[in-house]
Amino acid sequence: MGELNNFLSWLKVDVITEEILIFILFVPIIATLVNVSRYIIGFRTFGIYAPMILSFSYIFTGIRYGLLVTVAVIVSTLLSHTLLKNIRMHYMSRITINYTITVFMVLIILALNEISPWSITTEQHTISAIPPLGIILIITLSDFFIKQYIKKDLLTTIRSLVETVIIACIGWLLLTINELQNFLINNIWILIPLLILNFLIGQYKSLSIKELFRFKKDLSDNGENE
Amino acid sequence: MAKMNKYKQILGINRRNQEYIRPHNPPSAKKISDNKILCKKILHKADIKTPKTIKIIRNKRQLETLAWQDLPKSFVVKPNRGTGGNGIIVFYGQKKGKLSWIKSNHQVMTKEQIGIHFEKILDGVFSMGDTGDVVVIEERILNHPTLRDYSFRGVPDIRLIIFNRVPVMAMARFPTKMSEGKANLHAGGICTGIDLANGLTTESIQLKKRSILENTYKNVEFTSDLKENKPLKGIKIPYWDEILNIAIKCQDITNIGFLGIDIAIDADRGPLVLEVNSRPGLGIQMANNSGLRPKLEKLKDMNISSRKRASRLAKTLFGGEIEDEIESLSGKEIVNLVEKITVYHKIDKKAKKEYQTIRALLDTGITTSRIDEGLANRMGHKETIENFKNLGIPEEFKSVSEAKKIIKEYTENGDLNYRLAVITESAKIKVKPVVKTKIKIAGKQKEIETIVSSQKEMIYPILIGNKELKNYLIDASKTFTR
Repeated sequence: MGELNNFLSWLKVDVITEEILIFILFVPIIATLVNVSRYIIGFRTFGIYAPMILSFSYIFTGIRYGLLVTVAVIVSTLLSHTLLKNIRMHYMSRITINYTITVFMVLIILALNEISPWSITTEQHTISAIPPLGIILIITLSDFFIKQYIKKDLLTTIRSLVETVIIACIGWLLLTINELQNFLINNIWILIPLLILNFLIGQYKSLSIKELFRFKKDLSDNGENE
Repeated sequence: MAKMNKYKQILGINRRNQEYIRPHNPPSAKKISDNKILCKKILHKADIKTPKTIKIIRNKRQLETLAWQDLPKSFVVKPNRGTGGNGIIVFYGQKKGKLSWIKSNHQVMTKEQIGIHFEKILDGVFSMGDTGDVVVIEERILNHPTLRDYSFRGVPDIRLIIFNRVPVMAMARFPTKMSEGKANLHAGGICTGIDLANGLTTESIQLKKRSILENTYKNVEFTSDLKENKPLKGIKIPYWDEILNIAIKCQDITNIGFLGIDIAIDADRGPLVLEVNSRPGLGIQMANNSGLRPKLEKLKDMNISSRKRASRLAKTLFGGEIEDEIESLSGKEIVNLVEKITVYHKIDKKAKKEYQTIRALLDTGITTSRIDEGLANRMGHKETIENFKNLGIPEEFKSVSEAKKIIKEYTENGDLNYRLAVITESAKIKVKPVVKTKIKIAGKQKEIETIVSSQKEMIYPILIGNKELKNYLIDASKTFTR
């Protein structure tokens, strides 16, 4: 144990900063969260990357402001998609134009937020304290959203979005708990039980919670007896 | 096998993937299900019919040189490697003299708009992975007359799940107004369970409410938004045995161990395989109100030697016990060939008796029911019958068209408050009045149209015609009443 601690202190001091170490350790934690939500709860998030990135972004932007940017991105994406729907062009061009319009719209929405009396502010000290990457990462959500929206209907896509944001919020919440952060950097062995947990989820075969609700009618009405 | 806990009977996505898809659907088999063109080729070799391909567009250059004017009035567009019905558009007609086609919701798409859709398909927007795709243009299937009455615009399809060569569950999916001609459950189509033993439909479900959390579904008994809504229970799926055989054959050829297959029935060509699916959805359990697991477990270690045996197993293992449960399965009441019925008097006050119990013959050989003139008189239709006699319509006609002409004349000129009908009686063509008669049959009261007949040799005073018998099964072995 002593050697592991020495190794950790060396990591924190000479290799990376403590902040980076915390963030890196949270990557498998949030991934596990997505894993549990997919197979045990039955959530269909936009993959594993989107909820993870959103969790970290919300740390940079503050949760309220982060959610505002998220809503702004989705509304803008929907608008730009509707505008572009019937215009003939290459796929990548469409996505690029979509990004351009989205960015423009997000700026407008954020400006409107600033001047409105119900303005949502960031928990960070000032807007200038938000690293640009925080907002850029949320904007990339547009891509995940549009890719699914083209294939599936709006409600299914919004459902995935809501589930992604829920997981991101839980991830953000975990990230903000100082005790958890301290525990993690001092107990890096926690990754091993995490590994086992994920392995067990990998073997899970029963119904997910959402499926239980989906088939509830059948279960209560009439299951077939042999 | 030990009795399974009710909720354990349901096959969920987790178990489907781990126990059925991964071990039984090898990547080579998935390749076939994920590529419509390849799949069609393979099925054709085995003489399994699929919708005819009209055109394949592989790249943008081919799209630019596409001869739009050569496209038929109706056709279907599909992405070759599309999933879950994404990117599929059915065109039902063409705007006269224009290069514009009409979708099921009556929306018109111009050549340019369809072109944009084709480009999206070519860019791989609707397909698995991020690489490009190919546009497949197919003939549109003509709805089979039996199923036409149950669907709103689109074509219904039959989904079967096949495991270890044996069909284990089936459902029919009917397009509705809500689903805009699509047959998918989540789009609002009606999904109806099918009894594997006989191809009769059982319970039906439809989307109740879309919700952010999870869609909810409700049981439905009738079609909706059609001119005449019909009961969904007891529809006999045409070509049922052939459909089962096709499904079994498809599995043999594609080697997809846990297979979902979609079949549509074309009015001219019969059952056509629309798609084979190596990741079939599990909503079929809701339509059948029963879980897949016990059925799949039963088959796991079985060695099924022939297709014939597989089909027999499907019917006996997973079909309902038709003799015992025909009533509940088909939703039809069983009635006798000669049934005791109650006939009610037209005007209650004047009548000596308000109703009368008589024996009626259920005659599937005639369309509209018949009533003996004497009985009709007693039941309060004397005025109508006398009025008809005073019209002076000839006793018999040389042809049906002549008789129809007379009916038209009287209906247009006179102020008849009853309908006239042409019937053939003792090999003579006659015109007779039609009266409404209130009856009670098998415990249910209804008002039926009856043609007044003066035929001397009518043994039974009432013959119930085909029009009224759609919801009954006639047991010809019994002539005694219940």
